[in-house]
Amino acid sequence: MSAASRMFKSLTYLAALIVFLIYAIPFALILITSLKDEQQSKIMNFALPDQLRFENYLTVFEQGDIWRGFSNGMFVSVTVTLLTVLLCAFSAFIIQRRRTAFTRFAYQFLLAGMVAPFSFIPAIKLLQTLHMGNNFSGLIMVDLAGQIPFTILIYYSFVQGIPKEMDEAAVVDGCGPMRMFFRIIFPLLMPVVSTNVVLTFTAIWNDFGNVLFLVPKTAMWTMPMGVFNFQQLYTYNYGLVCAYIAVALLPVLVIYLAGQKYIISGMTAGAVKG
Amino acid sequence: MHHAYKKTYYPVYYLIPILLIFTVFYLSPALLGLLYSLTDASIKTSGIRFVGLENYRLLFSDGGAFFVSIWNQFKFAILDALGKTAIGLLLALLLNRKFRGNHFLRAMIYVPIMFGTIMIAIIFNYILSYDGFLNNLLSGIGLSALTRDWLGSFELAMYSVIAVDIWVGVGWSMLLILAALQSVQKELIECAEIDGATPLARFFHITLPSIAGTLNLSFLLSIISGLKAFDIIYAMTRGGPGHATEVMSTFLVKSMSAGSIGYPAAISVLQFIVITTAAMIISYFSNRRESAS
Repeated sequence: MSAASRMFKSLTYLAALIVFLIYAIPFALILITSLKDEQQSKIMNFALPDQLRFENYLTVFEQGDIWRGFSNGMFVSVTVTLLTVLLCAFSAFIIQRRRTAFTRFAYQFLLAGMVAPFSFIPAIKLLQTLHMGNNFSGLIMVDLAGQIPFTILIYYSFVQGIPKEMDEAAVVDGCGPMRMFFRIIFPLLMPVVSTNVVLTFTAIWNDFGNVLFLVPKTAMWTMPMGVFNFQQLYTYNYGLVCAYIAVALLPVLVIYLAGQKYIISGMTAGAVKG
Repeated sequence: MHHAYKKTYYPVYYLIPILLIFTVFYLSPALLGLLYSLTDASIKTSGIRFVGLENYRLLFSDGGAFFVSIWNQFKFAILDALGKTAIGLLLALLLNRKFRGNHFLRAMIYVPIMFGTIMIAIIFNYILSYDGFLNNLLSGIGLSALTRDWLGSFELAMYSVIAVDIWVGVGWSMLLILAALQSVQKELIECAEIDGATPLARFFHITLPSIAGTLNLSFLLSIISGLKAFDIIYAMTRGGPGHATEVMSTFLVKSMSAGSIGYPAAISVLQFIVITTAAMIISYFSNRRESAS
């Protein structure tokens, strides 16, 4: 190896190290601070805590509304994810297979949501009028509607790659449209279903705007709203807030590690069409 | 025969649920907003009175704060998109090289996108506040002259928020550009190498032209998302100090405090028009570029 290329290699590692630190330090700070007591955490620095204190974590679980945020978030995220998968997979299949002026219009109409922003304010009044403002149904429907444009897009392009002969074979075997879809086509969609599940779940779990505007009751708040509120409640107890954040980040981290390859394929699918 | 088969097995009426849900819960609020903006509707009362263009008149006479928020939104979107694309390119070039830990680093840069903006905003509030980590670090290593009130200063707040948003979202641009880099034809680069082209010349004459379309796409799509940006700004500065980081949605939230629906509805109507128009112009350009290349 020549001297020049060896130097280039060291520079690569140096750059990689710098990027690593830029991304690692903020999270390291949260972990370090979460183990300090109130007094120590006030001076925000890189000093390690004099002893590992897990009290903050205990306090978070005892007095924070973390369980409520967790179960609300789980309920809303799981429901929206299930509905999104079923509704969008089936609809995209029909739109792709049946090429008429109407289905073409429907496709463009649904994709319009990727450009047009959502109007929160009138939605508050709309949900009030429909009596969906005081329970989860309103939030779930708005979350679901917001997932439709991108999800239809990724299913549509995937269905294109499934040969029509599969459908015809199912018909010959005597399947109706529902059975044809759920027995034959749906299992073939699994890679894109996984992408859909990971992206939708994390989007709804992290959602802030819809919850902030559309959910008036604190009892219905999900995790990010809980953290936001907790931080305002304990403004000066940084250690405690950091422990809350560390706990709140854990579910997403688990999903990310489990579903990483589906996230990347889904992201690329979105970027290609935009 | 074929037509009948299609009708039976791909019934169009199965599309009714999705069209209904999307229309009622995504698009209709925009139309309702148009109606509400002409009334004095409020969250607290159910009675509604038609007030004509009163809400719009009020908005335009409100000392120009709304126009400041539109200007800030565009400033945020453009600088944010430039930063994400430029830094995304640098990161992609780095990750396109072989080194140990490459995949780990790639995954790590993408992590903040998964964590959602609120958590990130709170973390960076701690880092950037006046007595926060960054300033403590700077004074600790003898650079007290560089300490600033990163989020509290009128001049810096906007740039601090943009920097944090780039930190969060650059992973997306990076992955996009990395995919483009990996599809640049190796033969071309090898030929140039044999012809004695320097690494810099190879980059500017072969690599950069091959990925120009992707850079353009990353830039334009980031502008569209920047025009909708709200939660990171709201959670970090609430639009302050003053109106220094005020964007359309933070202005909207402030206008709601009185419980009125009519006035905020007028804001969201204008916001809808501004974003949709800008996004349509941008998509027009990105489609044309794509079909040209």
